[in-house]
Amino acid sequence: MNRSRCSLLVVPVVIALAIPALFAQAPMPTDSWPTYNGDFSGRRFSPLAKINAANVHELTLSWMWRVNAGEGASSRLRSTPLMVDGVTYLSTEDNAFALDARTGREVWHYVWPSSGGRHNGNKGMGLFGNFLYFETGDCHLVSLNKEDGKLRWSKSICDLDQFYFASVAPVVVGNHVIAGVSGDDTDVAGYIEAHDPETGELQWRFYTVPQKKGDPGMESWPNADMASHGGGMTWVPITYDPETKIIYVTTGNPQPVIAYANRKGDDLYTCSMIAVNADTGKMAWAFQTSPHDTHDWDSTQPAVLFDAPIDGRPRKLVAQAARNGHFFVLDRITGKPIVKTEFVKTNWSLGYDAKGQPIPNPEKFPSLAGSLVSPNQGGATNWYPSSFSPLTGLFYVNANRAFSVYYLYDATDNPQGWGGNDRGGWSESMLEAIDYKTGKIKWSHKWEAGTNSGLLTTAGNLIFTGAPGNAIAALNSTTGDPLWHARLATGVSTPPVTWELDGTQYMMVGGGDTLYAFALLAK
Amino acid sequence: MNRFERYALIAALLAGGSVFALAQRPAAATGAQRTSGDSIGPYNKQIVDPAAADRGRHLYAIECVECHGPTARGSDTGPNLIRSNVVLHDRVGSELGPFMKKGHPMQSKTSSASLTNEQIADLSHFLKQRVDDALKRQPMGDHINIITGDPAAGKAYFEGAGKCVSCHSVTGNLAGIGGRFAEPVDLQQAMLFPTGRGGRGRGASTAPVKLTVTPSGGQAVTGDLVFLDDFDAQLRDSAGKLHTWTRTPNLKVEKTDPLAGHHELLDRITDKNIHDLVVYLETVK
Repeated sequence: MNRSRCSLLVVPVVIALAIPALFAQAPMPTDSWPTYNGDFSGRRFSPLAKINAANVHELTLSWMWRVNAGEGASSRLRSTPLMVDGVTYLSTEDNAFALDARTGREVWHYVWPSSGGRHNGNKGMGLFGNFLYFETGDCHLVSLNKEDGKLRWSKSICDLDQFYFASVAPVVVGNHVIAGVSGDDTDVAGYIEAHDPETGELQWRFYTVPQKKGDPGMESWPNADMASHGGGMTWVPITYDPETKIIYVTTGNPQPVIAYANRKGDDLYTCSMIAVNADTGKMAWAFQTSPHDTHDWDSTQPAVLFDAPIDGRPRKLVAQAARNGHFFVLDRITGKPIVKTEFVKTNWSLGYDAKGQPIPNPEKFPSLAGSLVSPNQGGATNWYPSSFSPLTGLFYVNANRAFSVYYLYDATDNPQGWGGNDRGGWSESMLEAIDYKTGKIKWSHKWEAGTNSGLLTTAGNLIFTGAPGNAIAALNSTTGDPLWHARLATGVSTPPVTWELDGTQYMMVGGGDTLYAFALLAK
Repeated sequence: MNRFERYALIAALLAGGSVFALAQRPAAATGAQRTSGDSIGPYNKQIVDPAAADRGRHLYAIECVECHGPTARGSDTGPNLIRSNVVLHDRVGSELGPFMKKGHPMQSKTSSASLTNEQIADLSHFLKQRVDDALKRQPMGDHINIITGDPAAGKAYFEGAGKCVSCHSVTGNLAGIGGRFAEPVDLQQAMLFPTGRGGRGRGASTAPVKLTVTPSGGQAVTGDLVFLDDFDAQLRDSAGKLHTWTRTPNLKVEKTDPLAGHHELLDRITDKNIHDLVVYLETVK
């Protein structure tokens, strides 16, 4: 496993790089990975530097572990594993596992008795003291004891008969377990819920689309029936600013997904970034990254929170590389845009409106004879997490420049559900490093094949990413040069994480049904 | 919808048709069973019985369509039924039955309480079928008509700005292209994305991607690309021998994609060009 043959590619780097003082945000812990993103910010940046650009070529496999899920359940890993006190916790569809982080040996395994739903990739668990939380395909929020994996309680959070399902990793902020919901088969409304971590009781529910006359955003829909069934699912875990107690929610596409005749208007607050008070569930502001989407480009990419200078002045920022190909940096207190630009070339928009939001080109709406659109339905990026490194001041995202043809199937004046789809396509993939101050691409590393992997950056001047050929790879985060790789049995399907145990820094990543832990083991 | 359109739709419904071309679904039992993969809804989801749905369609046309519309998506006088929780929570009449027994206006002015359990079950299957039609995997896209372009403009683009004739000829590698695909949409897909899987049929045959690898101070080796990424390169030469290299800064790797022109076209071609080209190529029999 020690792929020293790649050492020829190593660019000598002095590791004495320091994080500039103006990036004065609390770092994530180094001895644990206690929440989906490692901390609440969504940066996925670790201050650990024991593994670094100079020695990463010596990284070695420490252990691997294969999922053995309950009968009939998928063993595919999509979740970000947590690690606390030497134990790693992860979930697959309807299954939860605890593993010894030093050895990969199973500590306990819990199987949820499912009553159905859709199982397209459980994103992981939330943690609060001795309690764990995860969502199930059949619309339940489940809490387990951390020590023995025994069921504490379960709460229904959505209606299976309305074709909702649940897959998001819950995030615990203050005294609230924040759960999101999924589903885009029929026309239903998105929301997030807060539950009491001890009892599971519902504290509040925030709908992402207007439910009744007078609700904010209703003016952007033709009528209340369309608005209240308007979609805006909450597919990815929230991020959170503990200072302001604001949750950042990103929302899915409007419904019907492709056909649009009965939802003229911006369709608020679908395809948006929404600031919500964690204690009250009330909206502070919203910014729509895709007004009146007709291409299934949800904006459920992470809202990444970082404190960084703009024009020499410290600012509290939130950034997102959205599925529609546009990159935004906003003031996270006011929601006002500071940077807006394409991070890949697209062909569907006509500049930005007065609010800094893209203006869709009606000529690229889906049509009966087909509209050639870029990006394709998979998007310029998707659910897999991006990363921001305060070491380099760069925002990283695995991006796709892709084309497909969007067809309208239902040309009636009252389509429902989908009413169209895209077909075919051609794409190229690249890892991009974006300067948050300007939105300019600092460097772009072209992949030879499609790469849909989440990212991890570290103070060791590294980016860890899945790469073509079933590889997990490390790149120099300043230059983008590939430094190390190992070929796994299947492609990377969970974002890499890192933590330190007994003085050793580990990097853990999942691919298919297998979890791998790497470390510098040679003494 | 005007009165004429409404009556035309009712007539179509009574004749057993629908406003959409609906794929027939196999009959299956209703009941709790674990389904694998990406299936949606609860395990005890009602599986539509097409024969019962056909009977339900008849009853719906006689008693319900005036208010709830031909696709059960509502009208000015009646609510959308495919978004109704009574319908969505129903299992072969479990919710719909009690609702109708309480009394609900019908077109014939008879009492809804007089509907038999069998009639309620038929209505349930018809409504569940309408719900399924709105789902992501709806069959509506199986046959779409994309023939809207101008063949003369397509021919001009083929021979001119599109530069198609630099590799293609309608009497050579595209001879009879209009008859080689299942449907025009498949031809459109194969034309835009020749490496894609969207086109059911046979386009022009294409040469494989070529790789030329030159080791430092060594001989260049050329062959068909087998694998290439940041770390390794692999090709098969004309004798069938497999060559593999670990990539280093001194290893020169050149890739030649014979379809590069197609990929570059995606940035230039307009939707009108596409629609015109498809109609032109459809005429090449």
